[in-house]
Amino acid sequence: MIEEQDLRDRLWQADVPASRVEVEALVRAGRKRVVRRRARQAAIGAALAVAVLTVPAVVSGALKRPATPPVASPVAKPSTKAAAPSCAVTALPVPAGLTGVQPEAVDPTGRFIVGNGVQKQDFRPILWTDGTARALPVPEKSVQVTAVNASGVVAGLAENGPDEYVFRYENGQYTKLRTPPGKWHPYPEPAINAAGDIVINVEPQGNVEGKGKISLLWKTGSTTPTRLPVPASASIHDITDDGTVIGTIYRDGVGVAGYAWDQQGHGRRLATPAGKTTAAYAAEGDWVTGGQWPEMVPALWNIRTGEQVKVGARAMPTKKDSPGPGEAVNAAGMVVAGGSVYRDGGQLTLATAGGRTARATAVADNGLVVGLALDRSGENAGPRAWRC
Amino acid sequence: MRSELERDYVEYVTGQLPRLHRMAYLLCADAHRADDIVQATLTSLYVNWKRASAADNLDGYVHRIMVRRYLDERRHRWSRVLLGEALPDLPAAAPDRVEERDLLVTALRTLPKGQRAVLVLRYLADLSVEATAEALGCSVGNVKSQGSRGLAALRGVLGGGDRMRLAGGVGDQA
Repeated sequence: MIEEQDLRDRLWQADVPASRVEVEALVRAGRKRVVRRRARQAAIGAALAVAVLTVPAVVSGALKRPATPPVASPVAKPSTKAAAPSCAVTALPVPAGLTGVQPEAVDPTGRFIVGNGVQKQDFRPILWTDGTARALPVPEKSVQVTAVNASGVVAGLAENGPDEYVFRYENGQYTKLRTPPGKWHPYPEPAINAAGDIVINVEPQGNVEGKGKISLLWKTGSTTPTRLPVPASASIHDITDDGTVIGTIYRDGVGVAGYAWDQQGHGRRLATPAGKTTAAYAAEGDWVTGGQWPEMVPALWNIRTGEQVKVGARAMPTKKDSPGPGEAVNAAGMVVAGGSVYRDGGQLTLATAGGRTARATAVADNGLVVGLALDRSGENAGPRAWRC
Repeated sequence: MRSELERDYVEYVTGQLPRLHRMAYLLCADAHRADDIVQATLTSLYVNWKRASAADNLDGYVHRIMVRRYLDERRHRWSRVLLGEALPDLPAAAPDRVEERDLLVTALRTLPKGQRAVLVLRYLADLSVEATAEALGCSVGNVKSQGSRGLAALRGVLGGGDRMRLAGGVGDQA
């Protein structure tokens, strides 16, 4: 029998792996955060004081050094909007009874948005269609929606204790997507393309850090997975409309380089300068985004050439000025990184009211950005959409 | 931060790091995530150190941030973001092998996250039922029920000295 004192003792005696966190690194990270926070506050102050701002001037840290001019984009840009200092904000409605709501993804047309509320430790899924919010059914303990395509087909993760699975939600119905025999833990989140093909990685349940992982594809309408012929060290993160799979090759748990694979497993390494490492996280149209280390800056690749194109924040070469890696991208090459949005080499200003700050999570091809407003103490003040 | 304040921070963190790391690891049962959670908690503590260090119950404050990070971490795309600071490579054994050796950790991993959090907060961090409820943002009754269910589940897995039951049934022990 395990009694309370017994459990106390065993918790203290449990074999715990070595920590890699070092106090010196914490102090460095803390100093960096303080500097970033001051820079952001200064930038916000400047934005309030100056009536008209050009886009590059509001890049975080721009007060310290000039930003580079916007780079030419091979994609036609909406010229009247490119010069706009600010993206107008709209509050997204929240279904009754849901709290902690965060938009997660938007389809390329901007018609469908998916997000999740939180109840205790569990997710509660929401689908916005043309601006109208609907709480989706919750057939399991936790249901998290993570991706949606232009047909309104949703992908996500359901969890019921140790039972976790990927689902497709379509026409009001959840469909559980099957995995090979055995117990698998899907990670990080399923992605979907225009056709409705869904991809994710799974590792044997109980394993960590991708040990024994495989990458799976469910073709549209199918519940039977196909194992993608990507290397064992690859973690995939997105699938484009032509079926190209985007991901990263990892070595000892650290991303080495972003890759694009076709479904036969032919891979192309995305441009990674000598001495650097990269990771690719999301793709849309001709664009792939992710990050480049050690600078920890967003990376943007043209998938046709594999070459990198500068993101606005690349003007700031040090970590403390960087928003971190790109997490979402649209077909026009707009990148979401660290809650900010970058277009044509400059950071866009997401309007908020009442001293709140904006944190973007995703962007549609028409420039619709979804995310959160945060109040002065950094708490979630509700889901928002911005027209950029 | 002024240098004397920073010295206080370094002193506090140096003393608490092993305990906080243990707590984070037992909460999430993943060496990398534990590092992420500890790093995020203590970076946030640095930023708020002046105010936090003046608090009556600094440990309680840090526990609250850590639990919040652990719970939030499910919502973040943590696995997409590599650790910002370059961390040194781990020496010797890979962490996943270490955790497979420990039956308690393996057993904890089979529990729902809520039960696991309650057990770790109550019995490792020694928080009261009320403080655990506050840290988890749930009711006292919920903490009690999660705690008793968690204990019962652990007894089921570890109880009676029947460790083979765990080895055969839950973990794939090497």
